[in-house]
Amino acid sequence: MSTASDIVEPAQPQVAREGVYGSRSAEERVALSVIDNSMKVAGVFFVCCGAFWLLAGSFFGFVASMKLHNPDFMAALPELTFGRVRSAHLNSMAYGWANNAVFAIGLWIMARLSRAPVRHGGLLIIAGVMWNLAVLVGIRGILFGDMTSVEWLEIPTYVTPILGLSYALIGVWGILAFHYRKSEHVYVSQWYILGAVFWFPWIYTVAQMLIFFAPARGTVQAITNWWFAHNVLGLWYTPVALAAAYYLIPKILGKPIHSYYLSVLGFWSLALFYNWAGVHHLIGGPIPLWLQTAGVVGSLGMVIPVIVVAVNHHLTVRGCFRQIWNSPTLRFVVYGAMSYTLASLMGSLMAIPEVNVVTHFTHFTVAHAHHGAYAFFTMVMFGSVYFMMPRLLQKEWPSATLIRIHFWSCAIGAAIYVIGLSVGGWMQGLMMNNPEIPFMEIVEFMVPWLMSRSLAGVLLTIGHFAFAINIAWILLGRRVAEPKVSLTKKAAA
Amino acid sequence: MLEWDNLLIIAVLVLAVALFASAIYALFWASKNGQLENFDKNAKSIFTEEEPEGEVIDTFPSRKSAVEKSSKR
Repeated sequence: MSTASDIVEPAQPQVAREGVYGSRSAEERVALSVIDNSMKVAGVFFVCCGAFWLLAGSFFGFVASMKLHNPDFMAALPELTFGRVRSAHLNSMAYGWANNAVFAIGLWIMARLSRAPVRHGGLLIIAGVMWNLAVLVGIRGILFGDMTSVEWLEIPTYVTPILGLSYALIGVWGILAFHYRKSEHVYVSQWYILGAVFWFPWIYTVAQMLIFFAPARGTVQAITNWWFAHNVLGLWYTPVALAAAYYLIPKILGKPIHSYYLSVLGFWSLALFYNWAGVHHLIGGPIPLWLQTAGVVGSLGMVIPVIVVAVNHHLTVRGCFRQIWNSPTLRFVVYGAMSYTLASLMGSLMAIPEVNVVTHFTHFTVAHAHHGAYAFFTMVMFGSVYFMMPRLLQKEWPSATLIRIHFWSCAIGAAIYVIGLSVGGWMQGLMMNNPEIPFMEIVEFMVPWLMSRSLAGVLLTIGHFAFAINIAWILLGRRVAEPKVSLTKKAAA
Repeated sequence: MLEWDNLLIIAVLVLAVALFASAIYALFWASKNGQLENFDKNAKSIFTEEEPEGEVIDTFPSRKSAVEKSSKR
């Protein structure tokens, strides 16, 4: 960070020695198309599994949402009672869709930035198959009555060791790709992915140990539970989505990130603060006050990385807004990045006890969760898949219309979801804090807001189908157009 | 007395300390390795000969050829 070396370094005749893009010789640096090819089978596998879970999760989510304003909906099926189907939704979206997306995008970006091909892709597939089978057995367990009572960890304990093991195999690939890197600089996306690859097994094993395998006493379990649940988002999904945004936005615009200094600051401040934030789920709960305070401080500390990312991305995109509409990837990623700013600032606000007193135990929290996990994370992953798949397969997306349908139905659906439940949830919170209002009145008051969620769910599902159809089409269809420019250009180089 | 429960708690604590130590090490390494210097060059490390700086590289399939002509910013 020393300014002295900043001034001295560029004076050396680097450009002559190393060309424009780093000091390694051209032979030593692996071509991107070779890296893409090495990731092809695994990447496509993870994306397909992710799309499957996305559709399954949409179905579960829709059933759960309908039941909240229409309790007789599918009431004859015991497997689809609210408690089960809601958890099935959460787990298929989190461990099915989101994790598969992270595996595909995270490993691919890591390999690309490390300029090193993915080695032994076959083993990666085996780990991927194991992971997805374990999730399948886990979701089946949830639907048929084996689920645990711990939110975000409902998958029965007879499957979780397999989940842990298969993750370990996949995570090792990320570390290996980094270890064998041919690149000189560690780009900020690599930092984020490397962090995530280490953080996820940590929080997962600790949560499993302290809650199931050697249960801690009393409220320590609750603390561990929310420390874990929040960190899945904060230290696993968020870093990978930010890595994708930091990679794709400058990459597609052909314009370096506005301030690399800010991006590094953002990473380290996220690493410092996010781990503390989870306790804010227990504000007002029977846990030590110092811990709640630490959670509030951690949550407010998150304002730093969030503002840093927002400023950095905005200033990078500034002047190129037209390009956002020309690029299927960018419109998703920018939507996601904007949602990140909003969702995180809202999250910091919600951690303030005075605000929390209203929002806690209401649908406001649900809106916030989807704001982060869907409008931010999932939208960025959609955009990344739109960028990655043509390069892996050397094919262009067959249908631009489907991409547009996907974007608009998901963008509008997510907006309806978040706005509807935030407004409804806030009013719900105010009413619940007023002892003069009977509870049934609040329940009835919420019905229209809950219906807006089902409507949003329909829109999101339409988008997911468009996404899945496009994936099936690009895989099975003939070569529709010439491959991406970058790849053809490579042959000449 | 080392029972199974205690062993696991110790494992959890060791894991936490190890992770914290590795984070400190990573920051230390990054600083020593020059990762926290020369930011302009780092920011450009994502570009390659195949996907170079100054070129917009993602467009909708149908509009592709139309945009390609005007893609040089």
